[in-house]
Amino acid sequence: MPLLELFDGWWLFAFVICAIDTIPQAAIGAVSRPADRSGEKYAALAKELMPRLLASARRLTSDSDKAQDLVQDALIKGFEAYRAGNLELTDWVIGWFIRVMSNAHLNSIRRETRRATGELTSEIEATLADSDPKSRPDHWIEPQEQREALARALATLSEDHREVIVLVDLEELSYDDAAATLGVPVGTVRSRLNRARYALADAFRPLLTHMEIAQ
Amino acid sequence: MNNLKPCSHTKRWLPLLVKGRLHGIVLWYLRMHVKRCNNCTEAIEALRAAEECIAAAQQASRNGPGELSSDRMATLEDLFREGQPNDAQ
Ligand SMILES: [Zn+2]
Repeated sequence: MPLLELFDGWWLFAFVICAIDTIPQAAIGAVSRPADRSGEKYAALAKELMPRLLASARRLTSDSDKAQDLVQDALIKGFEAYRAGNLELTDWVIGWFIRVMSNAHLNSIRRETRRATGELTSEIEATLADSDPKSRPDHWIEPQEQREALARALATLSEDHREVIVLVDLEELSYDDAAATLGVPVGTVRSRLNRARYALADAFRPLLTHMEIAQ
Repeated sequence: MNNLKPCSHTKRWLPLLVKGRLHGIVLWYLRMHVKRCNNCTEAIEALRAAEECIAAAQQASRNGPGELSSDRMATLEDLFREGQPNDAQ
């Protein structure tokens, strides 16, 4: 009897060794090993996303060179993250790029404006004070000024609020995709979005007198 | 610090009102309420200002190239091929 048990044990051990040996190496390596991440696959994705990324960058800035810089920098950053195994080419990867571009651009506005004036809101008011509302019966300010005012207003928000506004209101991502991009539940996106909309609106509040004059 | 003080029972709905996503009795009630509530009126005006700027940005983004400039594309292609940027900033 002990001899039989010993035999059974060896048989099981041999079986496990053989089974491990027959697991395809590709299956083990399929878990995002950085070395397997080819530039070719990423380049194809970059080409596919390019028009969308450029449109997103133009929503953030009216300067076309700046928009191109934002896209190029985001694609370089994305490639580095992809190669390092920190970025997956999922269906909602567009959100990752939008997030990178908006944070880069709006943080630079925040830094520049603070350096120049010490206050972001006074800079937004200055943008609007330069326009003559009486000469524009249909709009309170020109579309380009509106875009600049929006970027400056977004720059005043916390990163959480700014990101959810950019992803859902500006880029019109679904709540599900925004939640996947931000790594939070959909319910958090909804509640954060409501607070963010009021925070953004609050940045425009000092400007309402300009609107009233224009109307 | 948020200086807008919409009523607590309308706060959830005002952004949707501005976006034109409300219908029926909720829309009817909010319109009636806003007419006699200064705080909600102020909130709606500010929300609408933000909404108009978002719409302007969305409209403007539709015009423009769908590709990066050729020099930027060349930099990216080198990077994706070699794995190292040549003259990326
Ligand atoms: Zn009210």
